[in-house]
Amino acid sequence: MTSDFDIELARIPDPFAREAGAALPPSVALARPASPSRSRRRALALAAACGAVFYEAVILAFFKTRPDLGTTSTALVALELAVPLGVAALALAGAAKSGRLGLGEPAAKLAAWVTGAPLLFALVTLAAFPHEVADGAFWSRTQTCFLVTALLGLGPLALAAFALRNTFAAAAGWRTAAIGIASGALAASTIALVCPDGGALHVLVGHGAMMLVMGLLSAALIRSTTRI
Amino acid sequence: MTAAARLWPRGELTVRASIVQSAPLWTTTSMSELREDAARAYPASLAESTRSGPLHSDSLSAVMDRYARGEDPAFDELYRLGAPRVRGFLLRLCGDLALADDLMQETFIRVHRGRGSFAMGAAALPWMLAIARNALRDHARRAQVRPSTRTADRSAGEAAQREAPPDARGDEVLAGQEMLRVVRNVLQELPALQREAFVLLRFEGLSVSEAAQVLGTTEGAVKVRAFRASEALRAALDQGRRQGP
Repeated sequence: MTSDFDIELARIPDPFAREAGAALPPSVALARPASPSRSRRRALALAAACGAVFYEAVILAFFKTRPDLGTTSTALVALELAVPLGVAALALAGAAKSGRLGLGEPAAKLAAWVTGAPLLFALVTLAAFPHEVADGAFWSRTQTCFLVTALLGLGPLALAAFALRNTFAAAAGWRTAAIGIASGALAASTIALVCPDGGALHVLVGHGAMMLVMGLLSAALIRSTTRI
Repeated sequence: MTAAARLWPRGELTVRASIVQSAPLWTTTSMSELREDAARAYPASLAESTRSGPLHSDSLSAVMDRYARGEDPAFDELYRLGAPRVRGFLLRLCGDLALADDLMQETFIRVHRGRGSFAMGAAALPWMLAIARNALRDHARRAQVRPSTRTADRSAGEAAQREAPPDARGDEVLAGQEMLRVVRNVLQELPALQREAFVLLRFEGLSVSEAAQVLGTTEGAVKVRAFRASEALRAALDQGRRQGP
């Protein structure tokens, strides 16, 4: 008789087999409230996206565009707009991808998307934007921009939370965080049209930090709404 | 190489166990005889009948796809095809048939609410299992209860007795009952994360990658959890065998 050999767990009996095979109860979901079909959900997402853009335009109209828009380097302004928009697109793509099983991308990939998108923003900002010398008004300017960016981000986030109710069956935390990052990135892009300060540190803290804040807020507060 | 990684050299869940040469619990002298006893007391055909069917059931996915497109009458068929699997999964996680039935209903209400988010061409079963898991976790968070193992003991014993073939010897029936009881108790005592991983791999027939997606975690985490669950199971079986009848 051998003392060592393999136990294949596949041979371990299922102690619940009998009960699992019992007759099913009738479905109680007979009086189901209306729920959006796939096409309706798409339309809702599109409406939310349009609503987010409209919201940004209204806030932009309220705060007015930056006075140096005609005189400053077009390339720099374009970069200030394009980098966060790219991050928003990346984060949204990470959240929206359905994956092989329709459950979204694997958690490791999602984590890479969610952490990589703001990291990319930080790296590009530090590499491409001028490094200013912080003066006495630096933190007050940055704080103001941070608050305006928060205001700009809250609208899209609220619309996304509404449009994406009962959407994520798995990895809802990561995917909702990605939505928050996308909202923060959209706000960071819009604030670039309001704020004339293009210093790397200011853009990083005053404009970009909202991505992280909204990502964390979303994962903590909105996940229960977006999860099925 | 980690211990967990050694377990899946070919993507299979196997454990190399050291068998102690002592009086066995299930009136057998070796684990192979124990398995034969258990197989007699617990026919494989039953396990196969309730264990996972094809994971990517085309008909279930097709019906879910129709339902996601807005065909409301498809719900009844969806329930008929999906409910047994969802209920079985929930039962193995919570150990209580009444609770599993309640949570299955909750799962189908959630499926209804979230039908529009079901991706075109996706597999319906993993999607539904993920939703069922969410329903169970929400329930556990609300109720902060653990399933009663006493109920589990009784049900396991009854289940084994019902399944014993008419010509089974008394000691074989006892061995089968005892094994079922141990497996059931260990499953119920496991931390939820380990239990979920083990149930998905062993009883629902998912691959490590698929289980990782249902659980919203990494493949490595699933392997470690399932490994720990299998270790706990092995330890309980060894302990029971050492203690003897």
